[in-house]
Formats: sequence, C-alpha cells, structure tokens
Amino acid sequence: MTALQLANLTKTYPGASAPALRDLSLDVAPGELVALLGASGCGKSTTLRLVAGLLIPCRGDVRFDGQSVLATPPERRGVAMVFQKPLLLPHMSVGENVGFGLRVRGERPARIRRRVDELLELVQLPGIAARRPGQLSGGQEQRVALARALIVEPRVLLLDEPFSQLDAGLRAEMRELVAGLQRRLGITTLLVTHDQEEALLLADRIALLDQGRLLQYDTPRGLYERPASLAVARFLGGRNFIPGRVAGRRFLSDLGAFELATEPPVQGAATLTIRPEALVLGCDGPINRLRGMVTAARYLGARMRYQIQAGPLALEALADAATPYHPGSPVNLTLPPERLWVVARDE
Amino acid sequence: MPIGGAPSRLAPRPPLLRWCLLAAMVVGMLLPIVPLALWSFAFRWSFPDLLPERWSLRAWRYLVAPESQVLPALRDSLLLAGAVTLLATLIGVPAGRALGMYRFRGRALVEMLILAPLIVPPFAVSLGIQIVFIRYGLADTFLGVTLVHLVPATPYMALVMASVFANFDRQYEDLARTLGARPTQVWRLVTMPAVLPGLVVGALFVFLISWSQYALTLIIGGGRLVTLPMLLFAFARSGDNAVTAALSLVFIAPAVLLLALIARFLGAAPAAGGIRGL
Amino acid sequence: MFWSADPERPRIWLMLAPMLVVVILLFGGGLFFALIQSFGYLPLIGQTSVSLGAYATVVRQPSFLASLALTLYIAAASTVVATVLAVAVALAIRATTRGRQALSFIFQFNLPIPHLVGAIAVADLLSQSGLLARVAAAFGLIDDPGQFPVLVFDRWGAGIIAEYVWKETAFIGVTVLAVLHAIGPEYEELARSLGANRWQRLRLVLLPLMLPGVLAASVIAFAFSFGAFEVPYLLGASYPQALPVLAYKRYTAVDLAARAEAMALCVIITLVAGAAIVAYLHVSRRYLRRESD
Repeated sequence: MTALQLANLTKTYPGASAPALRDLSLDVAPGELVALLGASGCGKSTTLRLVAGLLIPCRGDVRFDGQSVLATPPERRGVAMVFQKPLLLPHMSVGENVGFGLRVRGERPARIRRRVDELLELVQLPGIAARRPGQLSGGQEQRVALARALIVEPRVLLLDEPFSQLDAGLRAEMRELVAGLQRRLGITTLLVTHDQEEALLLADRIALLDQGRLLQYDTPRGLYERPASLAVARFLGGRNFIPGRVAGRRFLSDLGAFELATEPPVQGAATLTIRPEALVLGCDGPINRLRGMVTAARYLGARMRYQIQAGPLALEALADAATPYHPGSPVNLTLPPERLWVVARDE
Repeated sequence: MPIGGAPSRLAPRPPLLRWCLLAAMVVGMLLPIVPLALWSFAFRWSFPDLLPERWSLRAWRYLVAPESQVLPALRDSLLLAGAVTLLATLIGVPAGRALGMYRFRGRALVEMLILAPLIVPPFAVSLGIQIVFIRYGLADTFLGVTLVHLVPATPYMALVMASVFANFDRQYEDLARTLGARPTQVWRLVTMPAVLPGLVVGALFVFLISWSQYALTLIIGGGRLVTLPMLLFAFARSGDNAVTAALSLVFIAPAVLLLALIARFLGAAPAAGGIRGL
Repeated sequence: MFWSADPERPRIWLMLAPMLVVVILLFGGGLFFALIQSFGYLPLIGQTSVSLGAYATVVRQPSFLASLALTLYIAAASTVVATVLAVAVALAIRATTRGRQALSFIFQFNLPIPHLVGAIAVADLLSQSGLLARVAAAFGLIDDPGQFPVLVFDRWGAGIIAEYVWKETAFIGVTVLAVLHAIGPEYEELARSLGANRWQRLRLVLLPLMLPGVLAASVIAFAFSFGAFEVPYLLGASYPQALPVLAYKRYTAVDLAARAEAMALCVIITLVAGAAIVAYLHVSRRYLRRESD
C-alpha cells in the first residue's frame, strides 16, 4: 500500500491565462479512496493526469511513499487509470486487453493468461477472455477496463469519472464493485467525479475543488455537515443561509437569536446554515423557533419538499410526506442547535 | 409556394430517367477500356471491322521479350514507387500526426504549404527544380526522380494521416502508458494498429501517384530512367496499337486491383486531394 | 520514439520538419527557380541580367493567345461537364437501393488509371478509325473513316476534353458521394415534412449543402487540367497547343535562350491555376458568410 502526497501542485497550460490548478496539497493515506469533486474545469482531471505523469506540473511535487515521482515517466510510476470511456483496444481480444499491462512488462504468456482469468473473475466476468470488445455491453466494457487497470497491481489507482457513461442501474452496480474491490485489495485510489452523491458514497475523504483551488479536504460527513465555507455548503446542496453575526454561542440575525450547540470557529459577521432535512416542521421546540408560511410544496415520494417564507428569508425544508402542509398554510419551524452550522461570510 | 398541395409537375421523377443515367454512366466508364482489351489481342484490325480480323498474342509476347525493355522498366517502376512510398510514409506520418492531433500556432500556414503542391501544377515546378538538380548531379538519376516524386506524394500522405489521426483518441496512448507501456510499445501495440488501415490506404495511393507519374519522371529523369509510363508514351507515339494497348493493361492492372482490394477501406482516406494527378 | 518523449510538449515542429523540407525546398525551390529563370537569370549560359523579356516574347507570339484560350476552354469545359455529370450520377446512385455498391465501384473504378492510359484509350475509341467510327460504319452511317468527325488531334480539343471528363467525373463524383453521405437523409426528411417536393428538396436543400464540397473538387480538377501536359501532348492538334505543351516544347528546344520562355509560360500557368484557387476561396468564403448571416 502506497501513501500518496501532492505538495503545492500548480499547473498552467501553455497559452492559458489562469492556472488550471493552484497550489494543491493533499495527503492520501495508504489504501484510502479519495474523491476529487468539483464542476467541470475545476482542475480535478488535471490533478489526475499530474499524478499519472501524463502532465508535468509547473510547480510542486507528487510523492509516492515520500519519494518524488516527478522524474519517473508514466509507464514506470505504477499507476493505472480507468477513463470515462472504456477505451478497449478494438484490435485485441478481451483477454489481450486485460493482459496488456503484463505483456508490456514482458511477463510470460502462461502467467498472463492465468492472471487475466483471475482478474476477469474478480470483476465478475469469468470466461470472456476470448471475446472481442465489440461483443460486450457498456457495463461489461467498463468492468474489463477495470480489470485491465487492476492486473498491474498499481500503487495508485486513478479513476476518471469511470461511471458517468453508464445508466443508473449499471452505475450503482459498478460503484459497489469498485468500492468492494478497492477495500479488499487496499489500493490507494483517486476518484474524479462531478457527482456529489457518488463522492459521498464511495470516498473515505473528499477533496472539493473549484477553479483550480482546493476548497475543503475532509470526510464525507465533515464536508456535508461542517462545510468550511459558503461555497462548499452551496456546492453540496445547501439551501438555507441566514445572514447575521456570531456572539459567543449565540447567532444573532434579523429573524431573531439562535442558540448554537458549540461555540463556532468564526466570530463576528457570518452565515448560519441548516440542511433542509434538519429543519423540524410543526412541533414547537423549546428554543430556536420560527414562524413561516408554506409557499410551495412538492411531492418527492418518500418526502415532501417545501418552500417556506420566514420573514424576509426563503427556506427549504424536507419533511415526511405523511402529513403534508399545503401552500398558504402557516407553519412552525424549529432549528435544532446541534444541526446548525456557521460559516464565514463570503469575501 | 403551396404546401401540402398537389405534387408538382416534376415529381415524382420517373425512375426511368435515373436508370438511363446510370446505364450511361456504366457504359461511359467502361467503354474506353474495350478497345484497349481488343487491340491487345489483335493481329490485324482494319476499318471498318468491329472486331479484329485475326487474333494473336503477338503484343503480349513482345512485352516479355527482352527487346521491348518492359521487364527492366517494370522493375524500375516498382523500385521507384516503392522508394517514394517508403519515404513519403516516413515523412508524412509524423507530419499527419502533428496536423491531426495538435493545435499549434502556424497550423493554418502549414496546411496551406501542404495543399499548394497538390493544387499547383507540379509540371511547372519540376522545370524549375531541374536546373538545381543538374548542379547537384541529381538530374537524370534515380535519387533525383525519387525526390521530385515526393513533391506530390508527401503532402498527400500527410493529409491522409492528418484525417486518420484526427479520428484517433489520444487517451488510448495515455492509458497504455499508465499501464506500463514504453513509448515504442505504445506505438507498436496501440497507435499503429489503430491508424494502420488509413496508413495502408495512404501508402497505396502514394504508390499509385509515383507509379503513374509521367511528366516529372520525364523532366528530371531526362529519359535515362525508363519507367513504364515512359515506355508506354514511346509506344503510343510509335503507333503500334496492339503493344500500346497490352502495355496499357499491364500498367493499370495493379492500380485497379489495389482499388478493388481497398474499396472498403476507402472511407479512411479523404476522397478529394490526392487521387488527382493519377 | 519521435513524438512521445514528453507527453505534454510534443515536438510538433520536429514532426513537421521533414515534410516542410520537402515542400519548401523541393516545391518552393522549384517555383523560385522557375521564377528567376523566367526573368532571364540563367547563370548556366552566362545570363545574369534580369528582365521581363521572356514574358514579352511569349505573350507577343500570335500562338500564345490561341494556346491560352484553348487551355482555358479545355479546362473549363471539361470541369463543367464533369461536375454536372458527377452530381447527377451521384444523386442517381444515392437514390438507388439495389446494386448501389457495384454502381459506386464502377463510378470510381478509373480513379487509379493514369491519364496517360486514359488518353490512349480515348484515342482508340474516338479517332476516325476508332471503335465508335467502326460502330457508325456498322450502322451504315459512314462508309469511310474520313467521314467520321475529327475528335482526336482536333482544333477544339474534343479528345482531350473527353479524356478529362472521363477521369474527372469519377474524381468529383467520389467527393460528391462522400459529401452526400456526410449530409445524411435528415435535412431532406425535414424539408419533406415541411412540404417541399422532390425538385424543391434538391434545389433548396441538397444542392446548397453540397456546393462547398463540389466546388472544391471542381477547382482542383480545373487547376489540374489547366496545368497537365500528358493528355494534350498525346491527343492535341499541332496548332493551337495547350500551354503546358507549349512550355515543354520551348523547354526542349535546342536554343537555350528558349528556356526563359518556357519558365515564363510555367509561371503564367501557375498564376492562372493559383487565380482559380483564390477565386474559389473568395467565392466559398462569401458563400459561407451568407450562410452564417
């Protein structure tokens, strides 16, 4: 198992005005799966290609187990990449595709054949080595691509949106497979994705990138519940933002004062945020109460989504669908202190 | 204009017209080959007979006889076209990769430079080259003729390969490298197999460009390098219809054969551009 | 390997260098030396002065205008006829369902046949004792070869035009087939759903979509037939001669001073071919601009 360290990585493409990646530092523990999450153009694919050696950074370093690999060409770094498209070589059989990495290392054909069978077994496609890539379905192709990456026993596995071209059912299946194999084999893995659900589901830690900058590097829970900034909270689907200021363990806003469970890291002008599903509707709690009016209600199956006007603020709440509120009806809101989070005001 | 009204006078067009046109095309395309085939087996064929009075293999026998010089010319033609194809491939493949896969400053200029030799009559250029070749001892030599054949051949190869590489996904190379393939292995195992069909088509057409070249060989070869077209031209002017016809058939046989073989690959090469000049 | 040493900075100019050497040195050099020789700069025979004398001599010859007119006429006529035929036949092939592949193959079968062989075949077909004359005689239309119209070695270049039409119909036709394939059936189906009849679909939809590709192929064919030498050399009359034949004759003349005239003719040929390309670019740009308005 390999520890991966990115130190102050900066990359500006020739001719580009702004860097694609600025001063990114990231420590990935051995066997950890880290998701690089962000919108397109945030620098996540650039990071992956820098780790693979397919790009050379302008500044900074990439280290495997503390050793810089910048001078090592991609074919000797011991990484393996899985791309968005399966990219199975059309002139080779499935087995030859899977065995590619061993073949270029000069392994004996007998051993290659054995390993190919093992790996195809591992991705739950036993006995298809003789087929042509054209005979496979999209999901099978991507699993073969995964086997082809794993056969070289990479020190670092790089996954570049490998699920994005699959339809919903296959995607869930593939995610399970990848997560299971990654844990079992203990391969240090970087996963690039723009899908926050996927990142939350699979990653041990998530690095959230925006315009080449690292916004936050944390566990899924940390990122989701304790965003470091308004931008992070917004990216992860935050809807409810109440401007005001922090005074000790109290948050003062136009809607009144709110009790906080702990003293927040920021003081002074700040923004209070609460997840839509954390808002409690209907019952009168002892503290942190608000009165509002339902302006819109949407049925989502398991839950209802409400738009609620509370004073000057529009809030969003998710609540059980059993006892619906109708648009126009007044509603009591409670903001449980332990679910409140304060972030610094946007600069 | 009426919409959804009665069909116009011109529609539906009778398929008869289409069939007449297509039949005329088939006849028109194939007809010129008929007298060649007949003449090559004719011993005597005087006006106004529709078919030769006497058939004979005289012309064909003459072609393989030493005094006709056809066999040495065939050898020189093959060597020349082979050398041109090899050089044009070595030069045109990297250039095609640069043009097909990368954006860079000066690209439009390079494209114009490549297109120019395909459009400007090479005849004019070869007259200008000849005087320089005389000075460097390249005139009247195999090497000199090879070099001048590269003028139309190389840009064609580069253009074909540019379109081939433009359709090649570079991620295949990235993938192979991360899996441990050295650059030479990437080329051999990944890139080459992917671009091979286009490369074969390009190489075959480059071969034909050189194979059919008359004017450039005449001017730079100065009559010393006798390729098949030189010989054919001489026979055509001598007035021996039978031998001329037989040699014509020998001359076009490989070309038509190759076309038949690669007809299904033809989509890999841009139709316009290089077939011109054949 | 040449290009993969550094994945990020491919050595683009290194990859282009051999080809640029060929194009700049051989092609550019050839043009350059043709140009300076046309100005009378011929150190080989001791001429180092520069003048437009060769151009004056060439242009003043009474045969020049006749040759220029003939060459332009041959190139224009063969290109126009070949373009119309190519478009018509390609459309017909496209409309055919059965035997389309065989028809396409026959349509392009003469592409790899050299013009030299084409010229020989046309002579055997169209001359006064050729196959067509014999067919005419068989039908009792003529009794004597002399009664068949002069189609080869004639003043109007009929044989030359026939050869170019034969070859260029295939060349333009292959391009048109590729263009039609790229256009696909959707635009036509759309037009049809909007009520356009067959003729309207052709005139308003297909032809405008095809125009850029067809025009490009036609211009290439024009430039080629204007500058090529084999066919008029084999099938042309002794007067007037096509410009490339004239240039070759001056070039092989015993009189070394005629060289400058040969080069002047070459430069004129190149300029006219170049003008055709420029005119094409101009027209196609204007057309494209109109499209984007």
